[in-house]
Amino acid sequence: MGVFDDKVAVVTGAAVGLGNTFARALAAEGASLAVCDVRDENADLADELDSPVMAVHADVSDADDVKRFIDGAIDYYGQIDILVSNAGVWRASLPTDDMDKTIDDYDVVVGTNLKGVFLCGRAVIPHMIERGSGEIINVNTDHLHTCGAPFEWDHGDAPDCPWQADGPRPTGGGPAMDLYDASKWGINGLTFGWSQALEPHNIRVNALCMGATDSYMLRSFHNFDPSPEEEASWMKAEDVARVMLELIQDGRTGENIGFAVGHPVVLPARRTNPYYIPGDPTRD
Amino acid sequence: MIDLSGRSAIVTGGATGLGRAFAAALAAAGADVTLCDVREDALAVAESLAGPGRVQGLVADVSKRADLELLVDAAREGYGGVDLLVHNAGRWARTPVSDAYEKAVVDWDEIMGTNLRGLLLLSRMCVPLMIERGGGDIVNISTYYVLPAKSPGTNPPDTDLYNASKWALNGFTQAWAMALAEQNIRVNGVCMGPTDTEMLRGLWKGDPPADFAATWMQPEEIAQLMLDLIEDGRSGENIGAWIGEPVALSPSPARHRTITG
Repeated sequence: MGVFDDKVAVVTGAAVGLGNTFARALAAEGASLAVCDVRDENADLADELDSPVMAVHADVSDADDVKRFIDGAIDYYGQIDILVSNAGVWRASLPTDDMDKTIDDYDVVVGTNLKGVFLCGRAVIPHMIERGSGEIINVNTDHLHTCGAPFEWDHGDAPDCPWQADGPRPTGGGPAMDLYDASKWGINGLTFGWSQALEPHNIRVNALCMGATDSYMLRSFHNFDPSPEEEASWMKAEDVARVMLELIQDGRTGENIGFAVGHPVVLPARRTNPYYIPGDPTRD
Repeated sequence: MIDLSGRSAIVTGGATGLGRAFAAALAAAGADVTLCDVREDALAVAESLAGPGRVQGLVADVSKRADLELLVDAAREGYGGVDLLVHNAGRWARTPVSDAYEKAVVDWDEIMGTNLRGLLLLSRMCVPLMIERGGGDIVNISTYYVLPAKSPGTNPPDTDLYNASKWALNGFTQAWAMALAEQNIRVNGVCMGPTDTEMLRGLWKGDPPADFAATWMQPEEIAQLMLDLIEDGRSGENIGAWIGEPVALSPSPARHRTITG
């Protein structure tokens, strides 16, 4: 018996890394899965898990792929309760790059990380509104939610934080991350806007802002040969997945949940200052 | 007042509202300004803003690569290069989550094509020219709700794509400031709340609620803030302007400049 018996969860980018761990964690609690990836190993989940798994080869940056995947899952299961928009890519990009590389990087990085979250959300939301419930989790980065930032965080609960003596850590991933960081910052617009629009429909939208976590993407940064020290410093994907399961049951909405190396991997208390204050005269 | 004589500036979306105020302020400070807009009156507006700096205008759509190339060519051939780049052109549209999927796909291309992709491509074209001239300034025009909430109405629910496009600029502002510091190029965001422009008045078909309109900031105030920012020399920051507060450059923290989210 699991807490998500009778629930259907969609996980994008489930072939490897974090998405794979998220999918397994949801299945372990009884959820039926619809998973997609551009990697063929995605199909292995169907063989490895006891739960129902619908595995689809789909690129989340492609509007037709997303529509086919989501509509297919709704047809197959009759429902979608949980969407975990996890699929993401990283490429080094610099403001001095040439135009052809830039256009290709934009299509791949912004296309996957931001357009992919947009398309998957927009494909699922009408169905969730019709059902009157839903949970959407967007996977984001600690480049925009770091130790010391947002403003209300301090180091009090993290004596091992590497930035303890250094004041708040500057945000941003570094000079070669303009498109990656732009794509991830952009997710805030979806998380915060959707959380407000969907609150009356009993649909919650939150994001996980991941610090360095043992994953395919992080291992690829280290040429799949990280030093033991680096590896030991990483958070474990299983711990993050446990917090994600708690978040789905928690009932909050419109929050970025930060995971910073050196901090405990736990669901933090709810924010007391929301990312939005209702009452804008420009709203209908 | 800052003297920008001999410097070449590009202002996108310069025919109306904030863009027009930016172009006017830059020309008044002596800069030679190349402005573009999708509006047909871009040339006439340019003519009206000249002095003491020269101002040229062209009809161009920043979502089109060929148009951007024409824009940059005009600045290079007319005024010798590009020193200042003000990314002001932006599209705003309601994109409610209840919209049909097919509309959402089209909305993505239209809003992101201008607010994010167009801004990216124009920057990529101008950065080498700035490096050639020994430095420069890039100003990304954003919105107040990418800063900690200080006033009502942040992250409106019916404009997910517009909101996302502006949040995304934080990634550019941060990364470019870091990557281009050695080339003496500064990159900042200007994030203002409701400002009296045709775009905002258009939301009420030109007839906004008087009480609310009375609180709006004026485009000229924001333009002065932008000049103060360029004069200041900081980089990698978002400069906020909220209704009900003085429109002024905030003190720059010595370290750990952050864009909070």
